[in-house]
Amino acid sequence: MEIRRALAYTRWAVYALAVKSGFLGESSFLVLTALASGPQHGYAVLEDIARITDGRVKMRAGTLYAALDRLRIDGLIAVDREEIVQSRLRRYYRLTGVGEQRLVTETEHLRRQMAVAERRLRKRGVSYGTGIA
Amino acid sequence: MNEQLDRRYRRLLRVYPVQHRLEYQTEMLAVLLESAHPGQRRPEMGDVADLLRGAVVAHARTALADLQDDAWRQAASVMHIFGSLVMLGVALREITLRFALFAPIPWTLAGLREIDLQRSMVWALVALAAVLRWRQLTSPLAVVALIVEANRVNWQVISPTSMLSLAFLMTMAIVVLIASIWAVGEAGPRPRGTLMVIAAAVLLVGSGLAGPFVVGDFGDFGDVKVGSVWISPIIMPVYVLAIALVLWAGARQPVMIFRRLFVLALPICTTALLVPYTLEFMDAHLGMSSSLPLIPTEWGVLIITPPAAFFLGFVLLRILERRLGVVRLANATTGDKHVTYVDPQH
Repeated sequence: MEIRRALAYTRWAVYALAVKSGFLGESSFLVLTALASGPQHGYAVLEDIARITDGRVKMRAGTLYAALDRLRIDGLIAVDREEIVQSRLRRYYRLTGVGEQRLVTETEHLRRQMAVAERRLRKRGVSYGTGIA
Repeated sequence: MNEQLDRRYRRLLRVYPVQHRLEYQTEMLAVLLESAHPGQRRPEMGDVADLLRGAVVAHARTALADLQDDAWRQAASVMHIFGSLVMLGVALREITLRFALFAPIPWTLAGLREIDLQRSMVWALVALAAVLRWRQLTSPLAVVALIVEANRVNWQVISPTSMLSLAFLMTMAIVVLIASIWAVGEAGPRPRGTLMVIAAAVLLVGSGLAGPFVVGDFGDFGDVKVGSVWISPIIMPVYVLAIALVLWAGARQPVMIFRRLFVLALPICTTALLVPYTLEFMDAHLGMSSSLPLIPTEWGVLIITPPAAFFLGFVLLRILERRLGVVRLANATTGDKHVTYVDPQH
């Protein structure tokens, strides 16, 4: 019985870490956000991410394709279509229903964390945009 | 298009696993070339580091996926059963050996130690749970067996060098535990050759009855030194037969499972060879009052060798099976049975 409880607790902890605590990772989150605007090919995703983050994140091909592969395996994104432009392959990716739901969950999670951070900073007398009060 | 840059990126992308390259190489190359500055001839250092990191992640991911396939789980199940039966034989051998050496009156338990009885009982339960597939109990019992094995090391009184003589069995207990966890849910028929391994365990138990002939401190006339143990030529054939039976049982498995069993057995074999042949100096101090504690390097070698052996075996097996797969594919495509090797890198 104790072992079962321990196993159940471990499983819950892993799930909590992997799913509930935003274990998606920043790169995957940004890729999902980019694809939320519609199907895009790899290079367009990179440019969109730079735009979303005001140039803070300059993702490179290795990181992008690691994220795309992971998200495809998890069923969060899928291939929309393929095109050949100037003899180069362009594969467009789109957000799946599961991916959309996951992005909603992640966004909610981040929003809750942000609200807590905001409350605590206010308590410390910090206001936004105008520096320390 | 800058051909030089194209060629350099292609060369760089070869570090990715074949599956990944088949799926993404063309579009990755397109993205890399589109991201390049006008006139750029060499990949940027940032891109190189990023691609290398991505390749490591891709390799790790495909390796983890491989480890979850049915062949590995079935091999783990076989290792769980065979390993626990051999460990039961080894544990019972200690009892029969002590019985033959120390029992003052025949058919009494006077010379037996409590730890040997505990150990035999625990391994009997582990083997029973493995053979009868008591799913809920296999891993917890394997944990208890590992604790009992570790308990045999006399950590305080002598020195950690006593660990050396038991390292091989500790490694085997760890492998059995990992195999029991890995094989969870595996409910196929009992593996072929189980009776052979049981026979090998019985031979080990019986060899203990040879008592004084089994081991000697310095070796009597005609004894054979195997590692750091002197073995009487009378008992040697029994050990050889027991090992042959286990090997034969392993060889009776389907080839995919046999290969994986071999890889799973590598940590045990390397530890068995490591102690007498590379840490011999420390091994020679065993049983002496002046035995020295292990130095950190020796601890490091002892701890790193088993996982390193497994990792190396796993990587080599992946390469071998990938190449065999390509050869089979080539044979099927060309119908030429004499095609022996096709390099997937080209």
